[in-house]
Amino acid sequence: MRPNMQYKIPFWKTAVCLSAALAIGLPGCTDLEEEAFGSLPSDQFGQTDEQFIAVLGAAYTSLYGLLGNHNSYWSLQEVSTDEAVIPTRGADWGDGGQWVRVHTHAMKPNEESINNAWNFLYTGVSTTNRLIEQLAELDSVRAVPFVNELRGLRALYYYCLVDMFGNVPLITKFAGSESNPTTTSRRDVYDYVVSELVTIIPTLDPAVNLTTYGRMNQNAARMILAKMYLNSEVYTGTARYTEALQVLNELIDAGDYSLEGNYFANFNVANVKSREAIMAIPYDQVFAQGFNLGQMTLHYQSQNTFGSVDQPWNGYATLQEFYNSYEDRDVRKGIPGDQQTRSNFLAGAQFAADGRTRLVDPAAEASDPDGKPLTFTPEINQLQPGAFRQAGARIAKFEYESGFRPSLNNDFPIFRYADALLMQAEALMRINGESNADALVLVNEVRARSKASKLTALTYDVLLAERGREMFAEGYRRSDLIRLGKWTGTWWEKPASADFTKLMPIPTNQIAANPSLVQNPGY
Amino acid sequence: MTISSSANARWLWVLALFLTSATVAVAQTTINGTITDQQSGESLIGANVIVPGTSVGTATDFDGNFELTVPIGTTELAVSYAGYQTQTIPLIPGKTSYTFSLAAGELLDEVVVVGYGTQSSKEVTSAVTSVKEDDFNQGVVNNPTQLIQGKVAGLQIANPGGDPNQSPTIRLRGLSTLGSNTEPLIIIDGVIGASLSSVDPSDIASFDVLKDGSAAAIYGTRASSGVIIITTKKGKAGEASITYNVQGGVETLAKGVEVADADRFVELRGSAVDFGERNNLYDELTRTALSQIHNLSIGGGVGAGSYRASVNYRDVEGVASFSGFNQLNGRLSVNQSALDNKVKFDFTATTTTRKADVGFNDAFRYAVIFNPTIPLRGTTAPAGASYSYVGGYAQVDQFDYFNPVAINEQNSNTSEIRDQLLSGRITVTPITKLDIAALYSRNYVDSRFDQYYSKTSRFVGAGNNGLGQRTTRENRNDLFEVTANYGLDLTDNSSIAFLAGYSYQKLATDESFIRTGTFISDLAGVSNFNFSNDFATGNANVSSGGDRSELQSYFGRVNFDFDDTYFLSASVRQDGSTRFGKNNKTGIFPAVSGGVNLAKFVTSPSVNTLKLRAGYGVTGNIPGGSQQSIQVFDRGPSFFFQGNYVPSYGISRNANPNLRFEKKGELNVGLDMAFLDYKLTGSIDYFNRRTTDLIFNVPVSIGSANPATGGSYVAGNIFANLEDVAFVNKGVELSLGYQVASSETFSWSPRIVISTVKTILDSVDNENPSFPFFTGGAREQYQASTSPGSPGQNNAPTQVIRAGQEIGQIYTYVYSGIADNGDYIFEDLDESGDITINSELSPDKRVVGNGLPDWTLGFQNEFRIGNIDAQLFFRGAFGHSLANMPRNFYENVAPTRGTDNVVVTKYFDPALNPSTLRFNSLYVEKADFVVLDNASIGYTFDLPADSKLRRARIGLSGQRLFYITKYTGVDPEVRYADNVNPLNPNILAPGIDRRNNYFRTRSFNLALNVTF
Repeated sequence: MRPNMQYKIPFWKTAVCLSAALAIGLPGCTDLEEEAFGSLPSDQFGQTDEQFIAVLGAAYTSLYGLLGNHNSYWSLQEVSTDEAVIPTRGADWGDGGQWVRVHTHAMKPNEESINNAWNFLYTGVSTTNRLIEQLAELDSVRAVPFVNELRGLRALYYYCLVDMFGNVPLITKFAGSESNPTTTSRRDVYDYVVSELVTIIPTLDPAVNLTTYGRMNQNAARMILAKMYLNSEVYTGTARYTEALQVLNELIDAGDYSLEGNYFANFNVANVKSREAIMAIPYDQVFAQGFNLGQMTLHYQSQNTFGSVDQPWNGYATLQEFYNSYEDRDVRKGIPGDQQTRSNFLAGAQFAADGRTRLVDPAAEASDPDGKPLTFTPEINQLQPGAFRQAGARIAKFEYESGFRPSLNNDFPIFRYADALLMQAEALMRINGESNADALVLVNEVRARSKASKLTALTYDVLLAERGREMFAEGYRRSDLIRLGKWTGTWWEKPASADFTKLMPIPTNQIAANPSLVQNPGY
Repeated sequence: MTISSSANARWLWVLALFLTSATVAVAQTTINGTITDQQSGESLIGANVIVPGTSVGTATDFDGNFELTVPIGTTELAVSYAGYQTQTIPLIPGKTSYTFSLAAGELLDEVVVVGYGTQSSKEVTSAVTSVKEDDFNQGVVNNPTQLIQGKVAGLQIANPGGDPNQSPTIRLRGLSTLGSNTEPLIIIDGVIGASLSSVDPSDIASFDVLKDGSAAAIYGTRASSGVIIITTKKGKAGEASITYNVQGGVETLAKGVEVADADRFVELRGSAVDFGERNNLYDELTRTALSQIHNLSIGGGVGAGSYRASVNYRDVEGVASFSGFNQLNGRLSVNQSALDNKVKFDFTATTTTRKADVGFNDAFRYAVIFNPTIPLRGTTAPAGASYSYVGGYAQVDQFDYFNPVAINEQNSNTSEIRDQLLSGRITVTPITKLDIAALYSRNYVDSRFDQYYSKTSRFVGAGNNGLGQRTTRENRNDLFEVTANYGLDLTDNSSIAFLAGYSYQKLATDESFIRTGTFISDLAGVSNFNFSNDFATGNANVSSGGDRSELQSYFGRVNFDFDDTYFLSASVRQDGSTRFGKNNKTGIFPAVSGGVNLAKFVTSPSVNTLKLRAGYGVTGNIPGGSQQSIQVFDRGPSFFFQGNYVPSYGISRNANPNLRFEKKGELNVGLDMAFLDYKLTGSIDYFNRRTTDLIFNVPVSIGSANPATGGSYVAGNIFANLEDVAFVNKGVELSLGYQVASSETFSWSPRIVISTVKTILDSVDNENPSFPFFTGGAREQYQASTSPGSPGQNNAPTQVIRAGQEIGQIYTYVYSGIADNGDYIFEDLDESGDITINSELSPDKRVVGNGLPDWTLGFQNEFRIGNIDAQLFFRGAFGHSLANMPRNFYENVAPTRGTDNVVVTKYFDPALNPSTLRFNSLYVEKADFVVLDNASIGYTFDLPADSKLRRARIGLSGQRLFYITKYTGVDPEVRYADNVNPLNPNILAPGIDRRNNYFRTRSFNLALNVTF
């Protein structure tokens, strides 16, 4: 305990001060220094082992909310694509038009979600910058292994920034960083991230166990590097598929991972032991909050299906075309009206927890042909303004446990082995041609696990569709559409969009705070 | 030590004297008499009568009579009364009955309380308004500031709706800070920052409002929003008196949101949603509320001591059956002189306990929209009905839609506040006219807020299976001050006075919070959190925290009076606060003001006073919270480390070691007038204030350098002083009174108070500000972060702030009609062929109103006809608009909320059924109003000469009796801040009438006042 902050200055001294002050104007009796209260003074923390780990923890807790969180990075990666949408459901979800604009690629620099994403990612950058310096100050010996891990994390944030915004300030220092740092070109940020990863990968922990599960381990860093190389043509204009393949081969050939027999083992509540997880955000309803998918997508009435603590918000849904891109036999698609069997979606008739009592939406629109009994129709009647309350299949890839809280317990994979296999397939196609046989084997390996039919030929379009089906809602669709050439195309109510939309605008608030920033072209 | 023991001895003596006063009249003479006003002949109440050179004295009663036992040998009596010339009358041996008539003083010279002292009003050179007890608002007044609502030009007090637990919003001369201290600094009997809950309205003797910078600068860094000094009643020398005052009040619902009745609802929404009942949900929610108020006080004094003790009890019901409070307050003040008045002690102790049923005002919102045909209570709904009974209450399983009765019958929201204030002052007068005083005070305010949500409450609790929440907060305010006053008479009519002082204040807050769910039963509520299982599952939240800050100040002032014609005052305060950054620990706040009484140069006898005064002063504002200037580690979420969750700690707030005070400079020019033998009195003031270095939570670029610390920004905002904007407030205030009639049988004195203020956010010429307010490339506008809200109207700000323009601008699309499909048609302002829908700025949006009024009015009339007194008080505000949120959400037959009841004001058009609700000018209404705020009539009984009673009065008053307004919402009162989150009002978004607002009420109250 710290000493009680009673008056620091006794009365007699005050009296002396007073007379002194009156007489000759001496400075005050208390020095008015501000002390920490209800917080810890920054110069007296981090000394013990326990505190050292607690300080390191801040780097990882800044990942909470990266994926599976509303109105930030994940929402942009999903709602801007052909696999997710937040339709304006009459009175609900208008929200100033933000979600319609994002979905139709008409986003503006002042969208709240874009500013949130920027702030989220730079908080990660700033935290890792700080810890890289602070841990070394606290204990230069003990800091060594952690510093490289932190550099890997920082590379992850910059990967997201390079992918979403392209040209961003490259800040790598905490002390002595620049005021109003200028924009670094996308290519230079790319080069930096690649060189960091190449440097640190040999030093990172190669083990695959609970210690490295939620941490920047060697394979997680390889995955970032592979994604950087795979997207290099988009980011820099220079293709680096051979490099991508090499990194993926190293990861896959080590044999530390395998596909889970059950696709949903990756997304169930107890998914911590998934053999597919290369790195995950270990969310927890109490300790590690930020995964709110249940609230975001489920219908108000779904509270009666899952007994959720809070009523969900009836927002996110998937597009009919996307839903229909799965074969009926594909376990990832599931069976409409069957909410007992795990699948990527909730579709069709909806029931209470007993699985028999039909849910009813008393406020269903009179014009809705499905009437009041709750039915998630894969068809969404319109994007805005009058999408029906029950329109759209919902995202159910992650298990909703009975009595789930606003923050879910399921861990969210950042990197997953199936993704590595599909990336390896893509690299092979890029190097050897679209119809590469080895690539086809890899894609079919992933499909077979979900009882999908065996493909006989591969094209980039087929690969993109398969990436969509497998990686649905995992936060990569935007990048995949861009890299595989479909971003500017049309789907459903989304018109063709301009090339410049491949980068998100630099947020208005950020330009206000840092006038050196340069807006991306087109905005 | 001798001093204090001597004081003790004296106390015993006082007590003994008090107890035996009936028998002490040996070797003494009793003098009685009446004191009247020389002009009107009216008796003067509370005039002081003393034997010069002794401490023997008394005060006149309510009929102007006094009785005083004087020592043998007394040769004269001195009579004094505020605002009148003091008179000394020789006693004629053998004559025991006298009548004194006092002439009004030259300036109606009343005593005005200024910072750290008093002045006679003729000497005041700054804008200070004093309101004495006689002019207070009558009726049920539960919050002290309501006593002077509408009485002080430039002081706006707004309390929309009839919530008995809501504190009014106070603005003095508009908004002049972006920080947290938007309301004036409250000083009660010298205790700076004392809590208003420590004083009962019935114990207040006067308010003195320091309006301009030159008056307030002596309070330095907390005075930018003005200063209100409250002086409580004290015991008077003379016989003990006992006053008992009892009031009974009746309050009824005056106006709710205009909503369709059940039949109309069925007509509008179709028979499919008709479930048979014909409920009036407002009747279900409200009642005729009764209140009782008792005030008992005793006071008196003997010799060199005086005392006053009071007990005040209030039991107040709100019109909503879930709201009300009861409050018990006690106050004791003791004043004692010793050593021939060379040492004086003043001691005050107060205690208040208040227990309140706060309830959930959300019930009002759902009473508007809940289906009025559903039987509200029951057990089983008929088959096929789209509602069901949960916990005995009808509920429709729909988002944001609850049985309004269930909300408060199933759940509870209560608070309990304990407020204690102790203060003591010792004043030593070593030589004539030198007073050295030391004040020590401690004000403790402990509060506890409890909420419990039932296991079957759909409103909140059901998903949590019961939810309990408790917040406790302890505030402590310790103040130590030493002051020295010295006065010097230069000539007969010229004097100079000096003040010097030191002040140290420490403010401490400690809070703890528990929130937990899964209760085994609803019966225990929050009385035992162990009945909750969430601790075991880890889902409970427990936290504690608080705030510590210190202030230290030195100050001085000199007042100069030359020939009673020229007056000059200059003061300076140096303030330091722990909340300031280490590079800017202190600030200097100077002020100077002067005045000249032009009446001295005018020969016309009808000009009594014409004082021109001008002043300039600098005041400041400190940051709203602590720890914004230093770098600290805060607890973060847990970190998954080697298979377990362990705590993480991080730096999550930006430190600003350069944080400094907001700085306001204010020029005030005024004229005080009295004409026609003081029948016509008034004053007019013009002010122009400019506040710079506004403290704001400014967006910064995370990761880039924080130049003040050498590190980088770790969060997206920092509390910093803005460098590109300033607030400019300009206005005129007029107060004018006329004594139309003034005789024994009839008097009528109307007084009108008018004020205007414009608050403009001015841009400062600064090419490259480190901390800009305005966002966007153009750096000229800012969108206030306030939206109509869920459902569907998030990210849709209603207000815009532009450089060089007023704040409070309501900015949105312009409604022009209804399309064939039921949607709104908006004006295509940019003639682009379509409407640009954008969250924030859009070429098709414009400013459609302003939430702040252009001018406000108070019109007071006091009448007296014989024994009958009456008061009529009108109050008004003009030029403001309100964004009517109940209409914005519910005045349509949109299909997506097909079960909602419909708001049906005169604007309602059944053709409007927009597919997406979008705030627009249709919902922005002019809200100019005049209210008969207070009407009262009283009768004072003629008492027989031998009556034990000294005074008896019975009175009836009505409050908020009627409104003249075109506003269709519940209450046209100005919303000075957006209270969508009452704990953190948005001061940049005035003018929003929210859906959760408490309905408007009207009250009557009968009062009986007796003095023994």
